[in-house]
Amino acid sequence: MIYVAQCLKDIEIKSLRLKLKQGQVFECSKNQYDSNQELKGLVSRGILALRVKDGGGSRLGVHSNNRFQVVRESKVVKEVVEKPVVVEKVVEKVVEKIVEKEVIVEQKPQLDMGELANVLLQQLGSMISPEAIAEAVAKQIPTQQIINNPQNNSSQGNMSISSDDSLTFIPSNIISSNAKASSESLANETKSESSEELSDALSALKALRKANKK
Amino acid sequence: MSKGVGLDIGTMNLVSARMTGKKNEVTLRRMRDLFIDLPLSAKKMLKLGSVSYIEADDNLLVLGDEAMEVANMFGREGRRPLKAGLISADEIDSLTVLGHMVKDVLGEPNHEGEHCYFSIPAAPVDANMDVVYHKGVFTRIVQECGYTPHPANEAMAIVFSETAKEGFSGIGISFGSGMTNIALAINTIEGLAFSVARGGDWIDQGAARSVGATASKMCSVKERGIDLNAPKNREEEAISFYYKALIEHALDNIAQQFVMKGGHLTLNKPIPIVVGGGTSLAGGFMDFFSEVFETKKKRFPIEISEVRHAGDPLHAVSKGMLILAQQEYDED
Repeated sequence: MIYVAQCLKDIEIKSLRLKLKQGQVFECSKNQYDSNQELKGLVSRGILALRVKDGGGSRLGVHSNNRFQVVRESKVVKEVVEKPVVVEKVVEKVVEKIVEKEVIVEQKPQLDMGELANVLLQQLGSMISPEAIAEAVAKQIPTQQIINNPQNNSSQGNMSISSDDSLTFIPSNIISSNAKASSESLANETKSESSEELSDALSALKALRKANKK
Repeated sequence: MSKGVGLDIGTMNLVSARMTGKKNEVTLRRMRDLFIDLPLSAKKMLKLGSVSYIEADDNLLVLGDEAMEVANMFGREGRRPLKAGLISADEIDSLTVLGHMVKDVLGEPNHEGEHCYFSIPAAPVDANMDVVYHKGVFTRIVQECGYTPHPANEAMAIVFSETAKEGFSGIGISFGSGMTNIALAINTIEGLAFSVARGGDWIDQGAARSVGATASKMCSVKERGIDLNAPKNREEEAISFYYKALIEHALDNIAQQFVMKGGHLTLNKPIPIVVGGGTSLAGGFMDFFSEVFETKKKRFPIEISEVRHAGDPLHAVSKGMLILAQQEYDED
């Protein structure tokens, strides 16, 4: 193996009887280099740059310029090492997300009210009659009632109001059975004795109805 | 006790009428449409004051006339479950309170499903309101009290209780607190029925605005007794002006509605106008009414035989409803 040495300073190599200026190169064999302590010392001090002849520019030894190159090479290595780490983190995040989704999916069946109701009904069915359950459920369902439209009324005598198609929500159980009154009645009661007119009206109405029927 | 009960559902009062069984004797039960809610802690105080109350859910309800006294005691305003003749949308407890009130005023039915005719206003012609919900709720309440409910027009009840001698033909006007109801009937058949969204409350509010007072102050001036033809002070004068405006508004609308919708009605003879309702109890009201009517008589499209006050203006509607309820049994 032949080395090509390049002088980085003006030097004199006493063991080889050479005086060289900066930039000059010379060749020496591997054995010669290995056995020459002076050359090794110059290379280690960065005065000489050594490379293998026809070795693609690769240099041996350590000198000032090469130090930077070595550092750059190490950065590249670090980047290469770091990149997989980043990838690993991304992978970890993705894994975490998937786990979260899986938890939600697992909870859904627990909130299935229909299934829960079925289980409850099955359990209750053995203790309470289905009619009683149905009645209890019916009480909780709001009811609807058909309401009449008084504007369209043309009543006949008794003024009963005909039904209309419009539907309106009317709450059920308006009068609470739990309410307790402190006294029998809160209303003021009076007796009216002058109701001859009322009796007359009643008789007249009755007579009119009979006449209309005939 | 005979069967059937009549119920007048008014903005100011709920009144039920029932024959007692004795000849010509009618039992009237009245409750003011007013309530106040108190916390349960007030129970002791109410008992000490001998105030009747209802314990419902988590509070105490004082109903009727006593509610006004208690409201004054606590420095609060009494709450009204009805407003402008209909169930108040502003009062969240309206339905519960009305349920208790109706139950109390009606009492227990004499038999299961006893017939109960109750008053319903007609839809107003001068306001965007209808009576659908109001009627549905009271039908349900009366039913829950154990009665067979029959909603019937408020002004028609006056025709039934007051125009027997005219063969149940006439114009019934019920001047109420929330609105004024009007019906025209010929031989028991309703030819025209409508309401105007003005009544006693409208007078109070208008007069109060005019003199810078409160509506409740004006109401108390009215209830203390007032002669519309001889107002004694500025407040009474303002009330008097608003009474006149209300009567004019009612008469103008009768004429207008008759021309618009009553063209098909054949009136063979003049019919009376019969006036009832709490707002018509003001001193000199009928003179005032006749005076206003005279100014419009010439252009009035219906021939009127006379203008008269109902025999018992405050109870004319409930008695009319009672007549209708009793008819249900006469037909059996």
